[in-house]
Amino acid sequence: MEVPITLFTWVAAISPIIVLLALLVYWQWGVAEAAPIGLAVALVAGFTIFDGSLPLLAGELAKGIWGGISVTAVVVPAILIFEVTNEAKAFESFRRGMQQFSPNELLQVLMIGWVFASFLQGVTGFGVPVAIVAPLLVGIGVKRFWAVAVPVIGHAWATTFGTLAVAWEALVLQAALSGDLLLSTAVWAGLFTWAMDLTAGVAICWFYAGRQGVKQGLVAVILISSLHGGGQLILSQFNQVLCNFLVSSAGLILIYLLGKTLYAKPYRFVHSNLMDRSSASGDAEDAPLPLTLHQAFLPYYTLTGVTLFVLLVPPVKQALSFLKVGLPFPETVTGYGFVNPAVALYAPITVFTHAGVFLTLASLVGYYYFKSKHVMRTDSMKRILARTLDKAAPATIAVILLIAMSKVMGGTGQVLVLAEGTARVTGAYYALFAPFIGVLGAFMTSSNMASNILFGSFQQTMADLLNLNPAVILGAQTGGGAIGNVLCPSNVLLGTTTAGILGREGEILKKLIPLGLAVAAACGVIALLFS
Amino acid sequence: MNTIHASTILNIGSTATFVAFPLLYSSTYNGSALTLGLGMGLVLFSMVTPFIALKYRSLKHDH
Repeated sequence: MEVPITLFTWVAAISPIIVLLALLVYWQWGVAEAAPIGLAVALVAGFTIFDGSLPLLAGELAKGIWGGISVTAVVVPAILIFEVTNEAKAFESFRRGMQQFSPNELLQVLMIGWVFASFLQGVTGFGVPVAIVAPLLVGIGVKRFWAVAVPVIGHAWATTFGTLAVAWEALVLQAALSGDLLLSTAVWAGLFTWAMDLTAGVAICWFYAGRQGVKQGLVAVILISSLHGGGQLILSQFNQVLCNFLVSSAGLILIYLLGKTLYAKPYRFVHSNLMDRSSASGDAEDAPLPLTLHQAFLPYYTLTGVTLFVLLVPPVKQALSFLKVGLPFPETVTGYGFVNPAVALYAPITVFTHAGVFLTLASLVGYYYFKSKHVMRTDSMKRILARTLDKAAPATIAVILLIAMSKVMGGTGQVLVLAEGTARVTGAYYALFAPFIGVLGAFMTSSNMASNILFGSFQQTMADLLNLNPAVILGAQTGGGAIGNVLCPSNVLLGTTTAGILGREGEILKKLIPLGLAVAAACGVIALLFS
Repeated sequence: MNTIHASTILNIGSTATFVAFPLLYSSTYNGSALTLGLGMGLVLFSMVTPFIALKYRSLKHDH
């Protein structure tokens, strides 16, 4: 018996996503309220239409809660590091320091929202780039709405080869890639993610000041994107694990040099839609601050240093990877024969190399350093913890329920019906939709890696069946998975949490969805032409 | 009741899912109706908490 793929089951399978999007984008609900409804629809569909038994649903809910715990372990410390920095009033020092780096306001936004976000994605994923960068952008005067939207756009291209290429490695494993096919798939993955990177740079300039912004920032965008995307493309032929980390790091050096050379003159678009001009300036600008830029940035330097040291030094990584926490799950089968295989150790959390540990450590270092500089009050820790828990509450429940929704949909065969149904209808035009399958996976799971795990072998099977170029189709899968990070509610939620505008996720998604879909469509056209 | 914050209610909701986890997990092995029912019940409760929290936020604004 097989899961029936009919129009009815396809509509039933997509209904949780449609309901979630409608609540977020049309009715402008927050994710914390929309996620339970999406989960409820997925549970009802999974039980009634896709014949998932109650123990199966219980298992998928348990997997979802486990995944939520792993993400929460990043969200809470990400909020903590922000609250520590905020309590020390370090963002003002940061803002003034950035003006010394370059008096070109657009370059400052590109530096933090695109280049630094890409660098963070290069070293650690799990939504850290968005959660960290959003408040930094607020610190330099970006409106909170855009402080979330900009890093969501800016970091997405780096999700395939970033975080030491975990998403890419997942694709290699799922599709059993090797030899020439592996290298040519890397080329196509590099091309599609380069398109996302270039779009990010141009889009940020456009959002800043329309045509004038693009004109002002074009040279920087072309140079940085050539390094990011072009450099990644070339290096991926030699070392896929480090190619993104190297170019993202080099991007920081390049933009610093641009700030001292081509963009050394002051520039500010007064009517910028991106910037908050309402706060007063003037005499307060000259008042001395207790911290310099580098002192204010210490928690983030610590985060970067610790992450690089642990993840890039193999003996250290190996030594700290001894403690893995995870549970086995049994095989479950739906009434239609859709099998969830048994897993010996489901989604193990490697405790001492988890991003949450690095963030917590960086927060503690920052707190004690700021205390030594006498910029913390005596009751600062109490205030920091209270505000952290207050902000983390809605994000935690939302993330857990969203991931649970994606697990229930996956475990009852709904996601498979969506993908296969789309493939059957599209036929020879399948390549056009291949990136959208990757987008779907990342939208559901907020992870390029998880999208590749879900659909990597499926996409390869479709390429074989339809006689399409597998390198192009698989490249489109992971490219789509990167683009999907722009559209996914979980990522946006991390940003709205740390930027202090919880509940506005729908508004932001309304802005980002057309952009993401347009890039995916362009990649689809390219995939169709070359497959 | 006025001193209960929306975030407290949401934290209760998250805690309910953490408590539900071992119940749901064990029900995938031994199939006990009690653990399954309790686990599902806790998840359903956690799904309701964002709406309860919303009410507390709007009450706070009304006052």
